[in-house]
Amino acid sequence: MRARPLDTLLAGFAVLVAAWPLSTLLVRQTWVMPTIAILLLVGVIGVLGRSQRWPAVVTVAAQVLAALLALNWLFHLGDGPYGLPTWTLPTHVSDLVTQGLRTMANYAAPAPATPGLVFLLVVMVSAFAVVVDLLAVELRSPALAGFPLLIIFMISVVNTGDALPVRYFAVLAIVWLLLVAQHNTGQLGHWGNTAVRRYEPGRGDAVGLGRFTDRARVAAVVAVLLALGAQSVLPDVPTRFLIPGLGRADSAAQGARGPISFSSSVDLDRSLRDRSDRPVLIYKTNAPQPPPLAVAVSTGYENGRWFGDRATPPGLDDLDRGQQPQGIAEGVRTVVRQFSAAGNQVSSPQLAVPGDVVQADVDARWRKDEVTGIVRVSRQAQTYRLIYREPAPTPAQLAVTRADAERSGIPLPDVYGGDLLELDPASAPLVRRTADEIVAGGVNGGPATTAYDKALAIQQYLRSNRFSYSLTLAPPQPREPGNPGAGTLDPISNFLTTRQGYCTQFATSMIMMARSQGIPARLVLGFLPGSYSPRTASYTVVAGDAHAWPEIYLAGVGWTRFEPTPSGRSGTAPGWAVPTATPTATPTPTPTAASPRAQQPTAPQEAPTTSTSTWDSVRGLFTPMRLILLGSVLAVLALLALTPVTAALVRRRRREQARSEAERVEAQWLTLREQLDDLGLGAPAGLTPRTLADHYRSVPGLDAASRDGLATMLATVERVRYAPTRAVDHPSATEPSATDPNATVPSRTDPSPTDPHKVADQADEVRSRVARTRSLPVRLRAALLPTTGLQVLSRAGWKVYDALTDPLRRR
Amino acid sequence: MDSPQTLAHDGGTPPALAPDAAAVAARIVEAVCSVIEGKPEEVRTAVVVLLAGGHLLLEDVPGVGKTMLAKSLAKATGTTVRRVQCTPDLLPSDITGVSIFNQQTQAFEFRPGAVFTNVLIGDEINRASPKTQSALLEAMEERQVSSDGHTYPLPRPFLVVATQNPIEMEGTYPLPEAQRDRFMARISLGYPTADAELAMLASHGDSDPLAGLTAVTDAAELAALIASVRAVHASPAAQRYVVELCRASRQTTALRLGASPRAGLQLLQAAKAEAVLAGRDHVLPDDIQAMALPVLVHRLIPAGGPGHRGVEDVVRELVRVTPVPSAAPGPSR
Repeated sequence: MRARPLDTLLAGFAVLVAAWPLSTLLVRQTWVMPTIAILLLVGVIGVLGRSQRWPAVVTVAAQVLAALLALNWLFHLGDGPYGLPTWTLPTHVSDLVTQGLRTMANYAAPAPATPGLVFLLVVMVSAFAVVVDLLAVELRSPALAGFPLLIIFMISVVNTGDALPVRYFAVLAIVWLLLVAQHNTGQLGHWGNTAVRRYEPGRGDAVGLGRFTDRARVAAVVAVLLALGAQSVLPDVPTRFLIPGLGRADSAAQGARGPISFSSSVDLDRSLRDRSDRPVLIYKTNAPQPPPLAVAVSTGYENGRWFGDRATPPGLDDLDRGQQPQGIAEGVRTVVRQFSAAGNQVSSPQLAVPGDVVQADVDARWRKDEVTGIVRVSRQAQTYRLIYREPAPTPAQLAVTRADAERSGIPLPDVYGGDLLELDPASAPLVRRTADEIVAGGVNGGPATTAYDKALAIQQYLRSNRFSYSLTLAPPQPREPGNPGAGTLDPISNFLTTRQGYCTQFATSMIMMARSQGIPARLVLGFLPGSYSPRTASYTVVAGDAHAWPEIYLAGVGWTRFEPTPSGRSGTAPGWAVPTATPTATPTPTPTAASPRAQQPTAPQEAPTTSTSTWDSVRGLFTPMRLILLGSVLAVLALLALTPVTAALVRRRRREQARSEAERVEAQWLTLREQLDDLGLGAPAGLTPRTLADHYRSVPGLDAASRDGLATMLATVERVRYAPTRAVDHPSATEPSATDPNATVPSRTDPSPTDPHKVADQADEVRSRVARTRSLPVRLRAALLPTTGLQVLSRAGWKVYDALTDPLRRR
Repeated sequence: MDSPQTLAHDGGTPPALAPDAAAVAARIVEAVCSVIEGKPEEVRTAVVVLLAGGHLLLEDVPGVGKTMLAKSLAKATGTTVRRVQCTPDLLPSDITGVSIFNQQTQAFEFRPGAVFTNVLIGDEINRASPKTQSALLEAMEERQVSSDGHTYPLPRPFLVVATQNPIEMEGTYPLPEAQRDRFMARISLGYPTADAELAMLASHGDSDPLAGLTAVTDAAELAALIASVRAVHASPAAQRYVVELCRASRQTTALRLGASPRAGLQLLQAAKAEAVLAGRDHVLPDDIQAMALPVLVHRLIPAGGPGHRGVEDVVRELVRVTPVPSAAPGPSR
C-alpha cells in the first residue's frame, strides 16, 4: 500500500518513545499532549501526501507548515483573528525561547515545565518527527531514521546526570527494530522465490525466505541484549559537560504549597527538590547581575546540620542608618542598587534581601541584624522596596590580612573567635588536610598567603571538574576501606571523598576549610537570582531556586560572598571571587592562566591535589577525551590492519601446508588469483587455465610482460594440475630458460618451471606489474581489504554468531 | 603470442597410446568433414564418441545428413556399416539375429542380425517398439548378443548411431530416460550455412559423396586406438571437475533431473578421447567443457514451468558458473 499508514504510525510512535525519557527532565509533563497532537498531524499529512502521490518535498513542506500552525495555536503565539500569527510573532517566540534557555541554565533536572522549555522541547521533537517520517516512510529508509531518533533520545541522556532506566532504551530499540522489520518484510515479500532460491555451486541447500526473517529476528534480539549488556562491561568514564545544560539530578519531588521559609535547623534539600514553578518572589532591580537573595544566616554546625539562625526574633525597631554595619568594612567602595519585590511568599519573620540593606519600604515593622545583615519583618509583606549596597572591593582591600589590619589599626569586629572558627570534629582531620594541600597549591602557582587567596583556592578547588553537582548524594563510604565495622564517613568527609553533592555540601565544605585556615566563615541561605523575563523586565524566583553559599570574613572587606557550587546551578561567582593576577601573587609564567576568563570555573582546570608529582602531569596528558581519541585511532588502525594481516596469515599457512611441488604451485596460483581479483581482474569461476589466459589477454591496460607472465604461470598451473605427475618428477635439464618471464612460451622440450621459489618470484612480479596498471584507489583497496581476509573474518564471525545463537535456535 | 595448442605440454607418451593416435584421429575427422560440409564441430564430436567407445544419438530433422554422417564415419574408418530403418513392426530378432532350425544339419543355426557390424545406423529409433529398442540398447551396452544359451560377441569397434526425428512425434515410442542415458553423446547437425549448402550442391549434386571417400584406417587400428584412449591420464583435478559439474546439475533448480554417475563416467571418457584428438596424453578441463554439452544434454530434464530455459542453456550456464577446481581437496575457487 502506497500510503503505508502502519509504517507512518510506527514512525510516529518511535518518535514518541524516543521523547519519552524527556519526562525525567521536567516536573510536569505538559509537553506530552502538544507533542502527540503534532505527531498525529505530521503522520496524517504524511499518509495523505503519500496516498495522493505528492512529491516528498511537498509532503514535508505541508507537514512543516501544519506543525508550525499547530505550535502557534498550542502556545498562543498569534494575536490575529483565529489566533493567527501577526507581526508580534517574533517577540512571542523570542520570549518563549529566552524563558526556555533560562530555565535550562538555571535548573537541575527535573526542571519546572515553564512554557518556554516546553515550547523548545515540542519544537525539537516536532522537527525530528518530520525528519523521521521523511526517512522512515517517505524515503523508505527506516534504518536511517534511527539517527534522528537517537538524537531525540540523547537530549534526555545528556541532560540527566544519572543513568536512565533501561526501559527507555529497550523500548526505543524494539520500536525502531519493529519499524525496520515492518518495512523490510514488506520488501522481502515482493521478492520472487527464484531470487531467494538462487543456485550457488558448492553451497548446498537453497536458502528460503523464512531463513532471512528468522535470522533477522535472532540478530535483532541479540543486538538489543548486547546493547543492554555492553554497558555493564564498558568502562565508566567520568562525565564531562561541554556546556552547562539542565543540571544533573534524577528524581523529582513535588514541593508543598504555601509560604516558603527556612527553618533554623537548615535543610535545603526539601526546597531544592521543590520543583514547582510557583513563584516565591518576583522582583525588579537595576543591578545588571543581581546577587542571590539572602534569607537566613547560620554559623553553627553539628552532626551534619546547620543550626542557630542568629537573626534576632521580631520585636523590631527602626534601622539605625548611621551605623556602619558589620557586613561591609569601612573604606570599601559600594554600589547602591534598587530592588522592588512583589508576590512575596517568604513567610515572616524572614525576608529575602539582595545585599546590605540601606533603606527599606516594607508594609510591616522590620529590622536589620547588624551582625548578619539579615532583615526581619513583623509580618509577611506582599510587596516591598529596598535600597541596598553591593561591595566593590579593590584588590588591595581584598589582600588585607588580619595582621595588616591590626597593624594599621583598622577596627575589626569580634569574628576571630567563637563558633565562626569552629570545626566539625568528625570531619576536622580530613578538612584540615585537604585545606592545607589546597592552600599550599594556591591559585596562581604559589602558596596562598592571604585569607582572600586561601578562599579563592578553596573555591577554585570545589568548582573544578572533580566535583559534580547532584541532588543525590553518594552513599556514605566506609570510614576505613575494608573494615565495614568502623562505620561510615560523616557528611562532609563523605562529600570530600565522593565529590558529589549540591550547594549545601559545597558551601559547608568551603566554610569548614576556611575555618581550618583561621578564616571566619558562615553559611547564608536564600535564593538564586531567579529567571529573567524580558517581557516584564523582572526576575522570578521559584522554590527550586533555593540556594546556600558561604560568606568569608576578609579583614579589609568584611563579610564577603563566595560561590563554591559549580556553575550551571549557581551561576558565576561574584566579581571579587574570581581570581585575578594580584601584585602580591607569585609571578606566573603563563599570564593567560591568571586572566579571569581562563579562570572561569567552567573551564577544565586542575586544582592542587595531594601530590603534584610528574605522575600528575603525565596523567594530565591523558584526559579521557584524549584517551578515547587515542583508543579510537588505535582501534581504527587495528581494524584496518586486521584484514590484510588475516589474508597474509592465510596465504602463509597455505604455502607452508603445501607438501608437493604441485601443491606449492597451486598455493601460489590461488594467492595470485586472489590478488588479481582484488586488483579488479576478477574472472568468471568457470574458466579453465587456458580460457583464463585468454581472459587476461583480453583485459585492457595490461602490458605485454604481465600477459606473458600470466600465461607462463597458467601453463605451469595447467601442467602440474592435469599432466601425469611423472613429468613433474623429472623436469628436463633445459628448464631454466623458461623461468625468464619474457620467454613467451614454454616449448615442448622446455617445461615450465616448478621450482617453488621461481614460481613465487614469478607470481610476485606478475602481481606488481599488474598492480602498476591499476588506479590508486583499486590498489589501496586491494592492499587494505583483501577479499581473502574478509572471507576468513566473515566466516569466523558467522561461527561466533552461530555459537551464540545456538541456544536460541534450540529453544 | 602463445596459442592454446602451444600451451599443451607433451610430457612423454604412455606406451598404451599410439604415437600417431592424434594423427589418425585427425585424418578420420578430415575425411568425414570432406563429406559433411560445414559441420566440423559435430563431426569432431562424432569421432570423439567413436574413439571413446560410446554410442551416438543424432536428433534432427530429416535430410540434414544424419545417415550420411554415420556412413562416412564407417567408410573413413574402413569398417562395416549396416542400417536399420526402425518401424513399429520391427522385431528384436531383426536386430540381434535369430536361430533357425536347419533341416539338413538337424540343428538350430544362428543367423546374425543387423547388429553384427562395426557401425549400426538405427534410423528413427523412436519408431521402433519398446521391445525392439530395449534389445538394441542391451546389445549396445553388453557389446554381445545372447541367443539360445550362446553368446555371440559383436565385432570391435562397435558404434551405434541412432537417429531421432524431433518432429512428427505421433505414433512413436520416445526413448525413456534410462535408455537415453546409454548414449554417450547427443548431437544435432542442424541446417548447414548457406555457403556450405551451396558448396554441397556444387560438389555432391552429381555424384555420391561417399564414392570419393577412402578409408584412412582400419578396424584393427581403430580398435587399438579406442583401447589406448582409456590410458589417457585424468588427474584428480580433472576428475573433480567432472564430479562438480554433475553435482551442480543435480543441485540447480533449473533442472528436474540431473546428471547420473554414468553421465560422469562417460563425460570423462569423452574428454579423454577429446584429449587424444587434441594430441595430449592427459585431460584438461577444456576437454571436459567441450564435451559437457553433447554428453549431458540428452540426459537432463528441465524443471519446466513458465519461462524455463532449454537444457542447452542450462548446461552452458552450469559450465560457466561451476568453478574449475584445483587438485587440492577442500574449498576451492
